[in-house]
Amino acid sequence: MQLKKIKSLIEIMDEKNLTKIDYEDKDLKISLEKSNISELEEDNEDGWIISPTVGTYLDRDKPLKVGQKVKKNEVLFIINSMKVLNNIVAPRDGIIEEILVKENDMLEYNQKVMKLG
Amino acid sequence: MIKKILVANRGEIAVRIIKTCKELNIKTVAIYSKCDKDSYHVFLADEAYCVGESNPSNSYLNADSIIQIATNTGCNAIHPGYGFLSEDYKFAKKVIENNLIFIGPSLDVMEKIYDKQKLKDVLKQINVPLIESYKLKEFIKSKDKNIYPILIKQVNGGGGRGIKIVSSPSELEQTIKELNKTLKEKFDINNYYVEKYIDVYRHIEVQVIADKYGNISILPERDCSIQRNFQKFIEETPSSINNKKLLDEIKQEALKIFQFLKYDNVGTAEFLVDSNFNYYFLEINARIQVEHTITEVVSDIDIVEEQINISDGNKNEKETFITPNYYALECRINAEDPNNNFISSSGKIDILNLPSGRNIRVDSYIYQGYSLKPFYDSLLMKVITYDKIRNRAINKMQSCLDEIIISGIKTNIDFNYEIINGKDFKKGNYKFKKY
Repeated sequence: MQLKKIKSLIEIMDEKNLTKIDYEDKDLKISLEKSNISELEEDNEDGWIISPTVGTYLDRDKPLKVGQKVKKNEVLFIINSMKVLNNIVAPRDGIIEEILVKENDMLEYNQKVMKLG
Repeated sequence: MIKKILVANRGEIAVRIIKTCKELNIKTVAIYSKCDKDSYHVFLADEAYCVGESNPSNSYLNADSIIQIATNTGCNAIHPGYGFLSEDYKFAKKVIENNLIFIGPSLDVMEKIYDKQKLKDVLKQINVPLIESYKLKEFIKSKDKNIYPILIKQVNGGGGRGIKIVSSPSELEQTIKELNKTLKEKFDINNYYVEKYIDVYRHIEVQVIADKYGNISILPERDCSIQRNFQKFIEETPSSINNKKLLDEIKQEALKIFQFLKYDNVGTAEFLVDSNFNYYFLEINARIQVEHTITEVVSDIDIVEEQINISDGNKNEKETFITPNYYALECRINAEDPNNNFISSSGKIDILNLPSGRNIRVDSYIYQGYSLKPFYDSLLMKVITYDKIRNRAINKMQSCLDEIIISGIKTNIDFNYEIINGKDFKKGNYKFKKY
């Protein structure tokens, strides 16, 4: 009985991307905590920002340089995909360690673009 | 002049197209989904780019991404292969709008053929013998149409997929309920038509090569009567039907149809023959087909090369009716288990040995150590044998099937063997069979 409840709680955590859930009813009191892997997953493969679509790489307004600090949700670069411009943002605070592409390079799907340290 | 082609496909047909391009000194760009990175076609192409996730809708059906890659890599044409976007009018239109050549029929022709039910209405005008058919919506309304059993087919379908047999009005109700359930909002009743299910003796199809100037060539007919779930797996050319007059009539009819449609590039007109030797037009496949191989070996023509040349504006200088130099047979080897309901087999191909020798051709994309991907169709390879004498080609095929060693996955090799080993098949005296 309790196992079912606990499994549902874990499902909810996954679905809503939560790291902690406290639950209490007359039969069960439990606190579940997930280790912080979701942030790394956003990074994909040790800090590499990868392209989510095929397109052309465009520098943002003030082009990034290696060594530059960026904040979470700051626009890192733009992908032009069939004339639609997509802003790619930083998943967390960090420092730009590497930039592998330059303006107008073609990006394939899942390509490593820059490394966020 | 076509100098660089993006091959918008995967598996054996991508390999096939790339090979002809190499022979013609045309550069190739391959696309691959994330899981297809280790695919043979990726290895063979001059350049290769990841186009999306394993799910075809994100990758091989992703028109925008495909066109983007073609444009960015300096391609001047896209070859769509078969399946995927090969008969997608909207895709062809987008390709052309982006200043690329679509290697296939012109847009005008594609528009005429796109809707299989509409095409039949058009061909009625020139008295092409047709199987009785109606739009599904129309059929449901007029309850007095008793033409059961019927087939429910998709208007833009192809490759024998998604065809259902229905034997009664109540079964029809049930089938529609199921379609509603599985497809939910995607279910559009206008996408379906109904066709009388005839007692088929043979499936005969006719390959055409036509340039943009009205020069049409009709190649020897293919007999594709051995199928499972409406999917062909053994094909031969010329047909073993003992009725040359009928076969000539069918080819004449095909010529008439392609002339009427002002068809261009490569395509196939499919016909069904009943036990009274009446023939009926079924549909046109406006693309290269899996079984184009047997036509190539008996007529000494490279059909992929023809597609490229025609798209490049070259003239077709071949005669109107091409006669075969050989008899040829093809067996499609799939990764499936005939002893377990033909369930798809996946896994790593640990050991692989392919047949070879005189008058033997193998088109495949697998290699020793390759892991099959579960997201796509199960075709592993096509084995083709040819000879001046039919029975010798059959013996050769049996020998080839014996020579194949594949371990690590299940295949339908033995299943193919049993069929061509049968007395009826060897006599050329068999009926259309859906295994």
